Amino acid sequence: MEQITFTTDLETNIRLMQALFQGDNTFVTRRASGRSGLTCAVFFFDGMVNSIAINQSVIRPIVCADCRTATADMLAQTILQVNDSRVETDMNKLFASFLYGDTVVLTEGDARPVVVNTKGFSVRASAEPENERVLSGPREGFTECFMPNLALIRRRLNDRRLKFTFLRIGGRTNTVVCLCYLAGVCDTHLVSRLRRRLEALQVDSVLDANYLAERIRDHRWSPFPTLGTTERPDVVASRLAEGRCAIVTDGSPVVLTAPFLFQECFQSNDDYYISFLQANLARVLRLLGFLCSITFPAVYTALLLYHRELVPARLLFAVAAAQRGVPLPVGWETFLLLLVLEMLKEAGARTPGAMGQTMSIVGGLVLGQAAVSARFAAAPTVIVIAVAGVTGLMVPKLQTAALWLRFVLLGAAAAYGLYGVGLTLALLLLWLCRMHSCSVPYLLNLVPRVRAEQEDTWLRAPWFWMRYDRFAVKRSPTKEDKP
Amino acid sequence: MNLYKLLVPVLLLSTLGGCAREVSPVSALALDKTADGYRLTAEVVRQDKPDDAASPAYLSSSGRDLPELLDRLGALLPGELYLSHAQVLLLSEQAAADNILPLADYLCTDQEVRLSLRAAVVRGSSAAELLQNDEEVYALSELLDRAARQGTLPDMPLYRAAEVLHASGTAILPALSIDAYGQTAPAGTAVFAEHRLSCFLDGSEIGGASAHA
Repeated sequence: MEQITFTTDLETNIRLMQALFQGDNTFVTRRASGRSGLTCAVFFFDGMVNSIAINQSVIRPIVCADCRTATADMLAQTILQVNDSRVETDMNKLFASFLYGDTVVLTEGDARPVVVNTKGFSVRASAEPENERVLSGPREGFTECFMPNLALIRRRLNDRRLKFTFLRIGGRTNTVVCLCYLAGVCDTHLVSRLRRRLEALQVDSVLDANYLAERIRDHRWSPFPTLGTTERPDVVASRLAEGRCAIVTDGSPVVLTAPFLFQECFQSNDDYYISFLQANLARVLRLLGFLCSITFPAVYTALLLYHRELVPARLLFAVAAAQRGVPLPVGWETFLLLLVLEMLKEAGARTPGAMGQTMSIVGGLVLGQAAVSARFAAAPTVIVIAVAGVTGLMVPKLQTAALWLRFVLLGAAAAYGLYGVGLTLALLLLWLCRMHSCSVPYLLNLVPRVRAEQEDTWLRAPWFWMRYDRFAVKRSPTKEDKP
Repeated sequence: MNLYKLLVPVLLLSTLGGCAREVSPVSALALDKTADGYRLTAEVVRQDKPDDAASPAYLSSSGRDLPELLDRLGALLPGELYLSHAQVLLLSEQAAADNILPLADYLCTDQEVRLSLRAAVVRGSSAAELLQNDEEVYALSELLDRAARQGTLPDMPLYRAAEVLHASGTAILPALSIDAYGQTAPAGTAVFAEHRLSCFLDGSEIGGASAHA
């Protein structure tokens, strides 16, 4: 930003501000004169401020002031009747606040501006996030507005050790990003590591949390998530209490949490609000569902291409009868049906409201039935793809990984049969063992196994067995942490 | 360089074909002796629609040995002759009177044929006739399984018979026949000596034979 300097002459300062924001019709300049001769200029953006607060707490006190002149300090401390006003000499901070809905007040005879907190833009009311609905439990969700999001977290963690550290990222958007953690519970290396990664970012714009997530996460090319995302304040509070860090981005309802472990992909918010017996059954089903989703098409293809002897006789006869007349080999047939499934999902997700449901029904039922009748595809293949698609929805956090793995395993199955599937799964396990999230092993509690932290991993212990700070992984400094 | 980048997905996609082939699963085989060699009849499973019941179809070929018979039979089928799901091999009395060891060895070393393949000797009729006596797929193998469990026929899969023949030249196999009501029924035990059918034991002698085996 170019160097901007205010003078003690108010008219010069007004002309300077108007020149800076020339062409912006939401920029408002209001001259206010007191009954004893005090002259001030008030600058704000229409739509970004609370007009009542400006009228009652800024304009009226100036108009009613009984002094001829006032310094910026007098304005901030004595005259203006607001809870948050300050003299700001750092021009970068001044304009960051001003552009974000604060009001700037300049007075005759003082070059230092006063910044008054008058933010008042309209915000969406907090509602339950569509993607993280629960059967029972809290229904609040984050919104796009920054400060209310932080308030939602603080309301749940009434702990003086809760820290909110602000950073500004993005050359053009100048987005506020907040690093949250519980001092004393969270590993200090983790905090400094995340802060360093955020501060090192050289980006023009940050319009959503994902702009940051893809840049600061470990294993950027991996389809497995290494940063947690949630829109629920109760989830963030829980992770902070466990000793993790959270990153809140202004303008995004999604909050990032780190570190994020593989086991968390199979955990749901509901798990903590329902009986542990039901929650554990659901977790096991999710794990099986994920395995089924990635391996079912591949195993089906491998069996029909290379290992027919493993198929029970009567099933083989039925499948062979269904395959008769289908023009493509089973590998291609499965591949194309998986593509169609993804296209239908995409069309359903992009189509608004009830149309989306219609699209899914038409796509899933009518097209599937028509394809089988027309011998474009065999009925067992359609069933296998449908099972893979449905079970893939059981673990939303691994949908990307499931999508890619389905295709990779299918290729391995078509090329090398069950040996290819087994080898690919073994390589996948090795890869997962090598992965880490903020220096914490991605498969923590599986490899390596930490006996003391088994209470909420693949299964959840009942609450009466659970300790509070059950995660709290302390790690020695890594290469990244050393100066 | 761009050509190479284009080739990678093309090569990956080309693997999707795998070794796709249409198969004609065989559930049972029957071997009869003819004047100039053998006749092999295969019970091939037909199922035109997935929701229909599987039904058998019978195809025969003639030749001098089993590889030739199987080759000729395969040429008659729309798909590859697939022996993995074959459960029964029927031998007529005349066919069993020849040395059965080459036949047993050939089938037992075939990579598709399972160890559960049972062999039986047909008494009183041709093997093909008995094979076609039941209109249900796997009726014969279920009969042999049931009789083996009940002890009315010896429990002797083909691979074990081959092992015993290799060791001592003597083995037993179950015998089947068509009874007075036209039904397929157990008909005692076929005794093999020096790799050839030697005699039959009827029901009363089977218990002792099985106990000795």
